[in-house]
Amino acid sequence: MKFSYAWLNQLFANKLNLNELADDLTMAGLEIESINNPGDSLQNIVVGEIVSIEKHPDADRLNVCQVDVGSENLQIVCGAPNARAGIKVPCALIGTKFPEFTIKKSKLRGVESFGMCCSAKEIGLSEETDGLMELSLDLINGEPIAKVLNLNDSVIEVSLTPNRADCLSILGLAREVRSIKGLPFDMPKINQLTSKDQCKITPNVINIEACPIYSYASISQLNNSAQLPDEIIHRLDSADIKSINPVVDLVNYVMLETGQPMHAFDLNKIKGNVVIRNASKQEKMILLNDQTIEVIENDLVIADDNGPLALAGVMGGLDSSVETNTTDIFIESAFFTPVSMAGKARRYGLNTDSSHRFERGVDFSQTEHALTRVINLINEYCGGQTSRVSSVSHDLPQRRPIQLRPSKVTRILGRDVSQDEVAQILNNLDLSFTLGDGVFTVTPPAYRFDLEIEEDLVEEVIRIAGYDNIGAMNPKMMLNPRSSKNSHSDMHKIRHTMSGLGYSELVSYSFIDESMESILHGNDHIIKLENPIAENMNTMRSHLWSSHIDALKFNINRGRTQIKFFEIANKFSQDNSNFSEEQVLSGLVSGEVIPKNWIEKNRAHDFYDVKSDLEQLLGDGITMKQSAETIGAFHPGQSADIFRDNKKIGCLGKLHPSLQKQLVVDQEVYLFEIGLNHLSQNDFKLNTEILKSVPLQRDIAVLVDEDVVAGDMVDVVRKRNINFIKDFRIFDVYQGQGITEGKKSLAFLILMQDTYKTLEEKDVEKSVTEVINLLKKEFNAELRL
Amino acid sequence: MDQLNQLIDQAKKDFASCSKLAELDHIKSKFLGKSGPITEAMKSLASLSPEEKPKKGAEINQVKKQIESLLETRKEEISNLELNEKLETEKIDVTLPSRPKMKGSLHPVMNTIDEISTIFHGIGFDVADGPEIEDDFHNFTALNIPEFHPARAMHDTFYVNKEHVLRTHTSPVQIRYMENNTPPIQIISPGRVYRVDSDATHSPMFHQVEGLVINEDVNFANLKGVVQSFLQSFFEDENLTIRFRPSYFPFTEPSAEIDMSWNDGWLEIGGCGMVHPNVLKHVNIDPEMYQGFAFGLGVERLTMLKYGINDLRHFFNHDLRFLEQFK
Repeated sequence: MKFSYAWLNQLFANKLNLNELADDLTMAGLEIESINNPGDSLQNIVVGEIVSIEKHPDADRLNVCQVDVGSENLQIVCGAPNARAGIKVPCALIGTKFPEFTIKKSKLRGVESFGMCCSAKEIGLSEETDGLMELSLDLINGEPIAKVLNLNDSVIEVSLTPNRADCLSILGLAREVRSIKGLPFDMPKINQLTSKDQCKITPNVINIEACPIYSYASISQLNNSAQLPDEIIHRLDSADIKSINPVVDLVNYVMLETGQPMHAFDLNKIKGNVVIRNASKQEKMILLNDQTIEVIENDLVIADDNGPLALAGVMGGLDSSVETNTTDIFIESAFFTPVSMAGKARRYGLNTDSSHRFERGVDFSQTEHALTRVINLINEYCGGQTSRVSSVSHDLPQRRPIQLRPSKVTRILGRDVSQDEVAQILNNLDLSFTLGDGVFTVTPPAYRFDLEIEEDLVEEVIRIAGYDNIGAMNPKMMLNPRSSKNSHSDMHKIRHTMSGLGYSELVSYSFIDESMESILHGNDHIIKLENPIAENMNTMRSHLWSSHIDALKFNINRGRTQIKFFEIANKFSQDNSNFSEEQVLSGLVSGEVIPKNWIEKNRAHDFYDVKSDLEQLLGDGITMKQSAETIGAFHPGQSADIFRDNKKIGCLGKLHPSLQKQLVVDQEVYLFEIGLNHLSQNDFKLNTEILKSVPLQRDIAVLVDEDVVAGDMVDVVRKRNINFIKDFRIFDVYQGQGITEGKKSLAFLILMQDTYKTLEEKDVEKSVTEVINLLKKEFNAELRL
Repeated sequence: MDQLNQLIDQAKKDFASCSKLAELDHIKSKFLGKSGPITEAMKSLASLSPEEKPKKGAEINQVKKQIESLLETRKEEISNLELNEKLETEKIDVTLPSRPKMKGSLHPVMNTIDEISTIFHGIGFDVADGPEIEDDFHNFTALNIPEFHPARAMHDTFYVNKEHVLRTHTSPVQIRYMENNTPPIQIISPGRVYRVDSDATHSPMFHQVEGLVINEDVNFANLKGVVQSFLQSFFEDENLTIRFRPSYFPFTEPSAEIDMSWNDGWLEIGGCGMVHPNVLKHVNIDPEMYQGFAFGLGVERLTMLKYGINDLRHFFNHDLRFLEQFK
């Protein structure tokens, strides 16, 4: 909420220092967001009178004016159509700084100009520009414009938390200042009305739960084209409320002053009687902002015989609006409960000053008081015959007494608080209480909707005593190192290993473009957001790769083609209406193996580079097998499932060439994904048998059909547990010259070792023969000699 | 005798003119070989009288030893020369670039989460997590934010459907943890959160770390102590102080904004408060028996302050030129 500092200050006999006030309010929980001094930017602008004017000799649209700015006459070239001798206008002197330019002595088409005559827009008082702003002729030439237009005031913007609706008014802020500073203040005096006339309308409140009190009055024969004092317009303007006409302005003014939203209807546009009721089906109305709405059942409306006149507590209707030619009005000052107002304005995309206050809670004890105040002001400026103020009221909310134990205050705050201190603070807050057996019984006033339980009062106590008076004190707790293995240390290890392997860590948005889900993953259980921030971020990703491909392209476009990325994040999936998430380590590798250099020959990354990285990370215990199911994103011939202990933990593959083309990536891309929940188990197996005997090595080469899978051959031999064989692995693969077409040659290294002694040749021969026979039998392998 | 002495002079000369070890061996045989002058001289001893034999023999031996010693000296000289030559040819330009390797990097936001987790783990906090697609109950209702509460409007929530949102804060992890554990409770939960907001200072996805302590007597002053100690540790500054400013969160009472001392001023760094009794009741913890505090800090904010990063967008645009600086 924005408000005029001068307005608040006027209520206090002891004037408030602006900066001190801002600090005090902020430290009491009413955060001051900004202090704006509109006068600051108008420093060099003064009242100027155009004393004579003649046509510019060389420009049809320009005039050359002599302007009296008090101390001297200035020659100013001006193009405004309404420039004429005898008017007074804001005149910017040389040196005036506007947001986009500074006024300098200049020549316009050969004629010298020593300043600028301004429009209302140029000095920030209006949105539109329609020629020079014409000032009252009573003003003295040369007076600063900020002073004569009342712009030396400061506009304070306070950011109020939703619980402090009681501060959405000058009255509320003044109460707060009183609580903090102990300073008394006076609100403007209200003259009780003497009229005995009945209001022309006798409203009928049907929904009494939603509207426990409805105060009202009528005024006839008023002049709604009267001029209001600049001060009132300025105060509305400070709160970003546009001036409409006197009645509307004064209703808004009193809302700012007291916090009570009210609404005035043109009495002559009301047909029959006024009813406060729930809407029925298919009732339509046009709101004051020209928006046509179809109200729904349960919406509270103010209606006449023809239908809704206003959406209660939110906005009035256009048909019954008060205009400058309005002479008779009906004014309501009601309390609509926060429960009945909840979510109502938002449903129509609205958030009005009125709905904002009613949703959070308005002082239900002052409806008549505020109404009387606005009638006083209307009578003062617009005249009129006023009816008496009446109310229809039912069960108003009760403020339940709250027990407050000083011991509880101490227990929660960790700071001793005495009974006297509590009593003093409650007094400052104007909270009435009784004290018995050391327990305060506090009854909050009607305007405090936020005080319901003891803890709420504890906060009030410390808020006024000052949060600064709470010392920082580390808790006394058991020294209790965590014994459980935690995911955070696993993450730490994985991240550091990956960066050691040359990967750069990314953090990318969890939402991606919907089309990527179908292109990359053929996913038809897409999780879409109802209100995405952008269309290309409308879907929760089922894998991280599309984000990484974007990152790859971003960096390629900046000349970086060697890429190794990883990210740890959740991926999302949906099964019927159940959502599930899995934390994965995901990554992308593309481009050459090493940076361009002078020392080593370069080549592009391939599948086995990435496989090696994953073995470094996950240990030798992992195996890769041709993917059992097609992974759409992968090249069908370079696509692997990753297993550990016979459990699938992830996948690795080359981006499908047609996707690579479709996504406009010029280089080959490898992608992988590992489910982290599979890694958390402690699977470390220690080998304590470090053999001292000398190992022996034999190499063999065999011919097999080219579609035999190498990993299967290794598996078969390893699983056989042949005597003395400690390792069996492939060290060469060859196809081509010298090898029959359709065949390939595989060379294996066989490492053998006995526990205590060096192996004898016959043992070695026996084991190697067993290997060869096994490969012959299982894979039809022929030994190459 | 003169002949022999001449031999020494000759050897001196020949050795000096030789500069290769292999050649030297060849020259050696010229003097000391089987048909060399020394061997010849020894053979000639046979013709001498028994009186002359020992004398002459000693002389020859003397010369032989001298030549051998000359040879050794020269050998050493030559190998020194050869070593120096080798060192000279093996000289490299140490200013040339190193053998290249891909250099990895760690994301600064993830580093911050790691550091925060380490600090809190060290003082006895468990690290907890929960889903990012969260149900309405855990994200709002259980945190004392019923439907239509004005506080919901402050959250700019992403909706997945009527009942599910992208979590707007890490606070729902509190609820999930308290549903499954009994006091005393000490947890932090770092993670991704989402709000419909995007500009230079807001990202639609960002990270928070939530802290929660519940026991019989932990209080507001303790909250201040824990948060201040943490920040001192994180920023490695024992003079860092914090101040609390009254604020409002539906799930805490009293509530506070946390301001941290920074460059002679105050910077807002997070929110906190004593857990609201309604929240405890939602998870069946008796608020008369137990009380506790909760705090939430913005991870990106902490990271930006720590490294002096001025624009939030650096974190999420994947530019290696930025990311590579963090190890």
